[in-house]
Amino acid sequence: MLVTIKYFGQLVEITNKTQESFSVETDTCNLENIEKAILNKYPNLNNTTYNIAVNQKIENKTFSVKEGDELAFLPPFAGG
Amino acid sequence: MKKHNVFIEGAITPDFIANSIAKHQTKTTIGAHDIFLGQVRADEINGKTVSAIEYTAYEEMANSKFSEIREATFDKFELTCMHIYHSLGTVKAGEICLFVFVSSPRRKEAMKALEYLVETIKAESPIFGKEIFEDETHQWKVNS
Repeated sequence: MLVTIKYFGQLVEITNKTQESFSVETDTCNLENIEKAILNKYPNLNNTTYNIAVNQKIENKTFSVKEGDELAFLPPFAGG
Repeated sequence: MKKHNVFIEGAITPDFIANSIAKHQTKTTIGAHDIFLGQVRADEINGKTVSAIEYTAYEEMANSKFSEIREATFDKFELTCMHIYHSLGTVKAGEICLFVFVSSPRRKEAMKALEYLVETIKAESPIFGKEIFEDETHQWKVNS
């Protein structure tokens, strides 16, 4: 299944993109497995701090991701 | 839930802030306003000075988050109205990047609400800041 992945702030400098469609196997679709696949693609993300939002809400690693969901890798917030 | 767009391209000008204040003169149940203005600081880091911050945001999530924060603040405090504006793009040192404006019949509610709002905005809104130095190198800001 396909999900959308968005990257923000410092993470864009590592992935060189702000967004991509990412294909994941349907039987391994919790957040932890998707994160592992992304870290595999961009090993330098291992040296960064981030939370992952699914459909605009920060979720933990056991969260079950569905077809078409929007994931966002969010580095530390710096508003204000 | 009603969603407002809180984002403004570039710095928030003193004129914009003055106009916001002026618009409240017709709301005569208000007895107290409290305003927070976040200004970009020219921090010196390892001998280099920050000349600007370039802000980006996960805008859809940030606007939802701001609506949530707005509702929570109205529930907690007796407020007449509340306005939040944050910059996107480049804001130079000395310019305003965050404008939070609360109004209440009474000062204590306004002051408590403002502190709660500003702290929650800083902790929970997905906004990112690239600190640009005078030599055009940069580092990424993290809220402390």
